[in-house]
Amino acid sequence: MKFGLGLKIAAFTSALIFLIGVALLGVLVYQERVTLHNMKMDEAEEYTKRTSSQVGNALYNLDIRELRRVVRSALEGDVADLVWVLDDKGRLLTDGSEKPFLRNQKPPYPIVDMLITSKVMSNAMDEQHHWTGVPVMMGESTVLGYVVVAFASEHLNARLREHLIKQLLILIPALFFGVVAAFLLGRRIAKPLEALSAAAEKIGGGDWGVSIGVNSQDEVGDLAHTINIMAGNLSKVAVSRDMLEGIVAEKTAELQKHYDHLQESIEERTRELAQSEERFRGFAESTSDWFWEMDENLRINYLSERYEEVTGRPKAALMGMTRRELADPKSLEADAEKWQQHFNDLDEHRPFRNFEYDILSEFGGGVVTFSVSGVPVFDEHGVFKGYRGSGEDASERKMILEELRHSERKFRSIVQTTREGYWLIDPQTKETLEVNSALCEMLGFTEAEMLGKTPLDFVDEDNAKVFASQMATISDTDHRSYDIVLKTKDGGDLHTHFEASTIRTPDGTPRASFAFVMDITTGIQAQNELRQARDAADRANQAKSEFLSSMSHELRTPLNGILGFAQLLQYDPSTPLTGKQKDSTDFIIKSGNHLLELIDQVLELAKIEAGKISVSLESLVICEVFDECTPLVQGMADKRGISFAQDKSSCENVRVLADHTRLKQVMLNLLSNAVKYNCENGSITVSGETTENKMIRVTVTDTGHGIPKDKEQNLFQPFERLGHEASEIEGTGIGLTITRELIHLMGGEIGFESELGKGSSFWIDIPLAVENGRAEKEGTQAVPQLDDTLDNPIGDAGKTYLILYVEDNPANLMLMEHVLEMVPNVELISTHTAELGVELAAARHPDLILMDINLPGMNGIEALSWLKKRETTQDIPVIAVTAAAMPHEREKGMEQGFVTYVTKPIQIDTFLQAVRAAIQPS
Amino acid sequence: MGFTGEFHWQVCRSTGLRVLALMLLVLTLAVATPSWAKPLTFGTISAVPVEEVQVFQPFVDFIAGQLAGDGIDAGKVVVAENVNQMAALLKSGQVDLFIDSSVTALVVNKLAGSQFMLRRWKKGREQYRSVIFVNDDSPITALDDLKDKLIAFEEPFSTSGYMLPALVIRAQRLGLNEVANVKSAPISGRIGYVMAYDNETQAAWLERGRVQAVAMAEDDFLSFSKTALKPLRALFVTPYVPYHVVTHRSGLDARLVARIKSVLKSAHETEVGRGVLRSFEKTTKFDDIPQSLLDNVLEFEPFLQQVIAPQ
Repeated sequence: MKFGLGLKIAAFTSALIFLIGVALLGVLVYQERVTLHNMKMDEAEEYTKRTSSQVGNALYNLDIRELRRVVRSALEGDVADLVWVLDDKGRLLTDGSEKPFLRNQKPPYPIVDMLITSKVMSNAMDEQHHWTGVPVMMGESTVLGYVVVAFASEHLNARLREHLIKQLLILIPALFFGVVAAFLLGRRIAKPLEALSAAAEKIGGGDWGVSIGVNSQDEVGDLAHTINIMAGNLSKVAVSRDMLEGIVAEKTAELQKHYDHLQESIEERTRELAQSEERFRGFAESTSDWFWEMDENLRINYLSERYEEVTGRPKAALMGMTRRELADPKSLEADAEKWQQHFNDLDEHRPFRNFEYDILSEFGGGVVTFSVSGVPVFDEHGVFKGYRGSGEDASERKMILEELRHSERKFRSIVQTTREGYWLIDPQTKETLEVNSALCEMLGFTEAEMLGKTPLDFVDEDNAKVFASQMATISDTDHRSYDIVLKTKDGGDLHTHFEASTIRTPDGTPRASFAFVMDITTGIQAQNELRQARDAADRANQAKSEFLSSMSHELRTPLNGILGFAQLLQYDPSTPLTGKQKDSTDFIIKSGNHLLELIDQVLELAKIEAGKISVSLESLVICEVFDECTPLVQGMADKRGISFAQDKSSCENVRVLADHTRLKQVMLNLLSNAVKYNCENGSITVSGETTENKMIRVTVTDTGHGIPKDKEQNLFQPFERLGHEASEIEGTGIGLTITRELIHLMGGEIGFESELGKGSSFWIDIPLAVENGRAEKEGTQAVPQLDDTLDNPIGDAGKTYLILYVEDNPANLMLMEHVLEMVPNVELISTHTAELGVELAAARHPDLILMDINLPGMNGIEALSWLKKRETTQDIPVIAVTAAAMPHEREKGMEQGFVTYVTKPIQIDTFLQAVRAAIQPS
Repeated sequence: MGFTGEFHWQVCRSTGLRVLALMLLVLTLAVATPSWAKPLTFGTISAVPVEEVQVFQPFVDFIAGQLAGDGIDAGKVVVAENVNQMAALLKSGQVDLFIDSSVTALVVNKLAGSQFMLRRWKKGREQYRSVIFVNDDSPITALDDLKDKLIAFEEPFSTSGYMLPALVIRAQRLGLNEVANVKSAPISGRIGYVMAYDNETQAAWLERGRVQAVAMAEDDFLSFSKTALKPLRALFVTPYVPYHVVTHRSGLDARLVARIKSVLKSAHETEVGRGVLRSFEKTTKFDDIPQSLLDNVLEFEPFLQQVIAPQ
């Protein structure tokens, strides 16, 4: 529905008139109310005063009947709704009724309290009544009582209503006429405009002949005149309808074409927009960022759905908040400068990127770090509308960065506090990037003096080559370890050890090279000292070995003569010895053997102490080894009437892992000691038992004198004979020492128990073999059986064998001559030098050569080598007959090619067996 | 105030009534009316005679109508100003029946020689008694303690408010004299009394110490006790007396008396009669006065002069 101008004017004017009328009425009514109220107040007070004047005497006399009458009289006429007469305490005496309900009670109305308090005329209002009260006085100060009158407000309201009705009766007609006038006014104003509108419509319809008949002297009249002129002008333009229609049609077609094109463009743009939106949505959904917007007050008014997915926090908590409100107060305080910069950006409407801040935990989910970027948004007029941007949860990254920084700090702390130097260089330029205080202190340079320089600046020419070669491998190696001598600031040398590493980027490109530098100057010195000490020790050992070897040789050589000739004396059947002579030769042989034993033991102890003795462990039947030892001591035991008792039950077929020779040596030592230190006609008991730790314990118990307690601790000390040095009991004091060392070498243990006067028990624990099977012995020399008689021919009895003896010692030569004279089919030739020996060997081609090693000029080893190189002599067996009894000498000799290595002093029978074996190996 | 007030118009009126009665008699005779028919006159004492006649007339007319066959042709109401006047009217035969409180009726009977006839259950009440009471904290514990004290009575012709309690006090051989107002002092050794002419005034005087005791009907005492300013205590309770009675003049025909009694006693048995009685100050019925109650009234006879006659 269209509301014309005239109607609008009429409505507006009517509304205005109405509003003015209502306002005016309200004012009048209010004024009237005030006036009536005041009048009513005056009337009420007057009425109350009048009533109170009538009750004075009755109050004084307490004449309730009279008071009742007065009250009833006052109530007549319906002026007052209620009249009370109260006593001086405000208690009701009468309200005009018989026996009033509130008799003797103070009516609970404010007017009563006001009267009692003020003792003057008082007024009060409530919704239904206007209250007036007055004290009834006798004199100036004595209150007889009070009169309270209540007037119904309805009276006042009735008066007001009456007045209001009167006013309305006046106002309504006035409003009516006003509305009518407004409509007439509107109509008057609208009519010319309607004429104008009709004319314009006609003109718009093509009828330019219209003429508007509005001649008022105002803007409307001017407009009508103008339109008339315009219509006239239009009619003057002589454009035919068809031509115009044609033009219009043409233009219309053109417009339609453009429209279609535009439509296509719109559709295409719409598609592109949809794709872009889809693309954007895809980016938004796939990215871990969320998008946000702020209004011009910098309050967040948009968060993409991604926010809740990424952060797990409700969007609602952030909506309407500013960044300052969201921020953790600690962050605001800690990063005040950063925040201020950000606020400045926001205030200046500048874009920002990657602004990180901690969001307050009250917004759910604990304290997290957001990283936001944003750009300001302006409308087409350049007015700032807010911000738009993206955000991400940077908590993890921050945490990682924190950890990285912490790790960096930790690394820095370690680098700076370590006593080792730290040197970081550029892998390309080799320039120093960083050093620590320890390195500076080592070299005596400051950090500033070192930065920018290369390591080559801190070495001499020789060490520069080392540096250069190492630095050349930075790209190719990850770790390099080398020693180098640096030059200190004061020109001194600093021996250092470099542990260098290459730091690479993920693609492997060297990013830096660092090294930890250790000052090894002290270590070098220590090494040098150690080396020197070791060299000295080696030299000492060497000297000791040479001494022992020399002593062994020097002692053995004369012993060879002593024992050899003594043996010859005993064994020469052509010249048998008398008993006394035999005793003497026995003593000579015995003493010689003792001396030889002592020499051997000393040499062995020396070898053990030097760690040069080794054991060859094999699986052995313990009882068999014991059985080998028993015969060797039986003779000695029989001489003293000592009996043997052997309990094999627990070790029958028990195998141990031990060195056969050394085990036998150990058992012989224990048995011989048990015999030597036993009592006459005593006994020796040998028993065995397996222990919990996979060993077998062999115990040798004697019935000797026992060992004093105070001497037990010296039992295993070398050369310690516990007081038997002056006794007839032979011994070197080294046997148990060697026995203990040998047992330990075999992984066993030795111990003893002794009781003075009763005897001693020596035990050895030997490891049980894992396999209880017979094992082959190894590393032992083939010892010929001693079952041949000395004068039996060797080899082929019908052949005479030629033996060449190379010996420079005449006594030994003589001994050998005498020994070999006993063999019927042997011819001996000899020489005293190795040079003559090899010539003689080449010339005479003996069947056997007996070679001393320690010879003047060419020694025996060299002679053997010469012989082995000659085709004519290489097959001749050569037996070494030498006092060089050291194991290494023996080994060396056997390696050179000796078939047998016989040490001096020789045992004739053993020697002859060796000769027979060499000549006839089968 | 007392019984000293003049009221002559009743006398004038009675004279006029006599003349009228005579004329009516003549007329009655002229129309062959029984010659012995006459009105039955009820009398009462009141200070507001117009209102009193309005109250009595319907009832009187009803009773008279019931007695039409007994020679009663009308009912009349005569209002006297005081006891003496009523006694004179009864004695002179101008009033046949007197209705009032039992003690007032006793006084009138003594003066006029009239006799008790029936009990009227005015306002449905058959009997009542008076209570003399004091403030509960008063040292007065017996009537004898009222000597030299003031007691407030209601009004001179109130049975419960004056005559009954006054007769009781007299019967206790206690002196009782009226004083001018509450500020007056009683004669030494005697009990002073003042008329308050209003129950509420009586109560107010006692509550505020203007008087030391008050006498009023028991019902009123109980009512005021509920709204008393301070607790009240009954000092003495009088015997029960009939609330209202009907007396007849001496010389009234015994048969008529019997007939009147019968009519009054049966008046409540009909709907019409109940309606008439109800409008007659809510009277429920008339019955014979119980002897015990009558004895209580008669016991005060020796002391009537002391209560009624001016001191």
